[in-house]
Amino acid sequence: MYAKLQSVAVAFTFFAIFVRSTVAQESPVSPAEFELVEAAESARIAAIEKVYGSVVAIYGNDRKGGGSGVIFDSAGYALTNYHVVSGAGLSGWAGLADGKLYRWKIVGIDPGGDVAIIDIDREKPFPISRLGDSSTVRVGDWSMAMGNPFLLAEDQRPTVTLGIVSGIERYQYGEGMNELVYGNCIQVDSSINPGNSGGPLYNLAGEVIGINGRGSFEERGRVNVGLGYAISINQIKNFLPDIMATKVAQHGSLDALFTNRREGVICSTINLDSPIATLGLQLGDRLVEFEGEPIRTANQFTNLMTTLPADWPAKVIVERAGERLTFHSRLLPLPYAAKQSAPKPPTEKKPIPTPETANGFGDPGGIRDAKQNQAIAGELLLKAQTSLGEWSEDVVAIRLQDEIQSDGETTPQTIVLAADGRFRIDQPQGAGVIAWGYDGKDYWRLGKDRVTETLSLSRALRDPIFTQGIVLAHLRHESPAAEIGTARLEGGDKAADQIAYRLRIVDSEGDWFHLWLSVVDNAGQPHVELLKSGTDADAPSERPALTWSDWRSPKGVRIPFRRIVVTGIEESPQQIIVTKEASGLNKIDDALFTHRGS
Amino acid sequence: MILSNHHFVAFALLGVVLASVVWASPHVANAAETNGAFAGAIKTAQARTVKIYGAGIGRVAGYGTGVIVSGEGEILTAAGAYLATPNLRVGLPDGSIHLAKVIRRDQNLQLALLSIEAKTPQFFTVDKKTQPLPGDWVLAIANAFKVADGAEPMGVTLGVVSSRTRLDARRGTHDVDYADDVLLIDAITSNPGAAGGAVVTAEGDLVGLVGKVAVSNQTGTRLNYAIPADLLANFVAGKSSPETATEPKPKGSLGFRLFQLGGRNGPAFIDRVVKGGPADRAGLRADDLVVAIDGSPIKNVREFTEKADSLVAGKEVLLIVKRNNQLIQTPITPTEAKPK
Repeated sequence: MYAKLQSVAVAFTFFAIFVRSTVAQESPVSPAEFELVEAAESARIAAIEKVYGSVVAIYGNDRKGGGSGVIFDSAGYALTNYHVVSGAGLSGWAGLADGKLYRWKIVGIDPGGDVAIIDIDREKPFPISRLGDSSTVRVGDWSMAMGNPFLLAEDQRPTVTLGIVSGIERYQYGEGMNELVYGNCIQVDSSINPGNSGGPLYNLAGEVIGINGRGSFEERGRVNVGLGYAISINQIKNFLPDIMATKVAQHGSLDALFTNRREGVICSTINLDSPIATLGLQLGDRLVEFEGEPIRTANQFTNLMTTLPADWPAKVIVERAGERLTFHSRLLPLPYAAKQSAPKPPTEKKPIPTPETANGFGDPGGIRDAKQNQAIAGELLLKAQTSLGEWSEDVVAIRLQDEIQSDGETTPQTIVLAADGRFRIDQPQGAGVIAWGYDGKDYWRLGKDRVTETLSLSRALRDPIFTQGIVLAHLRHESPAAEIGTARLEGGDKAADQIAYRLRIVDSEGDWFHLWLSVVDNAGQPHVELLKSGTDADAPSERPALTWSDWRSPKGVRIPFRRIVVTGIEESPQQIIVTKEASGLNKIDDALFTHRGS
Repeated sequence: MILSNHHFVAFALLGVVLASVVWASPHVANAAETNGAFAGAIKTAQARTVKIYGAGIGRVAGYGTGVIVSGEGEILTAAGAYLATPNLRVGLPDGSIHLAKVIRRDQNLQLALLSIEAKTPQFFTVDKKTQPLPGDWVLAIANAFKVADGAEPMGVTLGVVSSRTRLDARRGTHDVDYADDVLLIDAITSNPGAAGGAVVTAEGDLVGLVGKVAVSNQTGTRLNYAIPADLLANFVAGKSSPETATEPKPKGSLGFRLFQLGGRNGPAFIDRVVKGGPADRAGLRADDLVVAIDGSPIKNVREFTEKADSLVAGKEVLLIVKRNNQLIQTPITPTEAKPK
């Protein structure tokens, strides 16, 4: 009877909307106010239309059960929940708003944060949804959930439910060992029902602010109870590189516990073997700041920690006896329970699956499919190449006049970059000059002693000054990875203070170097651009890395006007190289790039 | 069957009213603009809403929500078994925890007034005049499912007022005792821990208090309702509504006794009629079967006893009995029951 009553009341609310034009004349609401309402409504409808095609209904191979997802990359990658694919398996069917079913296969998963990425097989480009910035979401904001609740859409077209953000920075406990934890998540009263899982939560502009994954179903059964939870998109961005690397992504931990005390958030338990203990963190230290956020409560710290992947170089500031101490430590992986399959005696036909591979998703932290991983690494390199821009036809080279700031001193540097990848770098040294160059075949260095040496690529890359030319030259190559060797996506890392894909490029001799590529741009949209290069992920002082920033476009081609030689995972700057002037050249002397020419 | 058919007629009329009201409400225009329209109201309301921690008993949640109604630490909440503990605590929006005691309760409205020893400079004015119209936006602030802890702000749900109607909640129809007007809202509030939460307008004015979970025994569906501010104001002021007189009205007796040998689940046959009593005067006889009192079906002795308990002396009710194969409908006015 209640349901009936309520539906009657609700029906009248809608009725009211339909008859608004007839009551407008007597209504005390001004025409201007009506216009506002109608403008808001049209804006909402426009936002929904824009993203409608990017919402996916996801089914397993048997097309029973399923969930939702959202395409964020025009190549056909879609976000969904881990608990959707863990039910469906490694492949299945994806229903798009065009009413058709397409094949999908798994890319990678994050069981801890309940996120997975699938790759949909259809002619490209796919319609996509823009990714929003969940840190700007406020309680009371309108929120729209889209997906396939109760799998009701026979024609695969998504359902939209409108509500408000009820709470932010919520923490919802996980299941099993470190799985399905919703930390720092968004609470909404937009209807979330079974089948909505994995679908997008949008703001009014139609940007994805989260992935809907659960509700407070414990008491009332699996139907909307007015409390739904979405994993924040900013957390998902942190895990994108690991998931795209076909990994079973793991969440991070300091291996130290912090508790609320009267004095503040105090370190109450610490594993003495943990990296942060080795660096000097002690029991009783008061946590002041974590990853740039001032810490007020232990809950807040836990919330922040759930959003970070294993291996993340975290910055921790503590206070001890009135003194501030800063630690930079890579986070340890939180383990997952091994998938238990009853041990059976081995038979010749069927080898026993190892616990981790029993479900086919791979080992925690490991790369599941090396071939798929390499293909994705190749796609990323091509995107990084695209972001370098096109050369104007009349320009064959660009000359950069740089200034190097180091230890309070400033010295000049000149770089000539040719469109075909050759380059030469000159720095004055006393009365003479030292130089680095690439003639299309050899990497050479002219030392103070006027002796020229030829270096292998990986040796040359250990010199950050040399790197300035090499990386740009190689990224320009038609197939950037193949030119050097093979590229592999290792997963996520922080570079230049932001989330990055870390690629390992291995040359024919087995030497390697790393390229860090951006995941999103300043506006939070997927954007792949060179951030950092180096031969050691932790950049110890004997192997410094180079960060690339302040990209500008003289003569069409994009050049990082600011390059910083950094050491350590904290990226402490050693030399700052700033381009003061860039000029296009319409002819070049080939001899310039050969060591004989110097 | 909580609401009889004429309520549906009322709804039909209401719909016509709604048609003008929804668009007559300036809140619609404000809120529809874009984001942030509710931000002020939410901030105000969250600063005046508290978390309550009591005793968990069986499946009943040991926590709830309350609203601050004075600067001297007075908190209004929904009555419940979880309040019956010496260790009752109130968590203020700043995260501080205070011991609380119950200073007053109301059975019909299922309300309780708590007091803590702390100043609460931010409080709701419980105003009789704040009466929302159907179609007005309302925001409900509550700690359903204990979603917030410490100083974390509680959850907010958005809806509109559907109507104001009378809720006669009784055992046998749903598991909450409530007898007065309610505001029906379409924000989902019927969740554990939400009772006592604030229901406010888009401007942040308190228009009601989230009522206790009410589940229909017939359909299993839940009612989302709020106790209206005017009833709250009476309770807070120490005045009770006519229904909730502190001096209980004398209980009414119908002047007959039921045949008890069939047990509480046996049919409600009249065994003996008191001579000169109300039943006698209305012409009722032994062996008549009571089938309804005031529109509520009476299936057995238990249901009759429950209904008869709520009869008030001097207030006429409509009784339907079955005699042979005939239904007889008769008004009957209970007289004052003799104390047992």
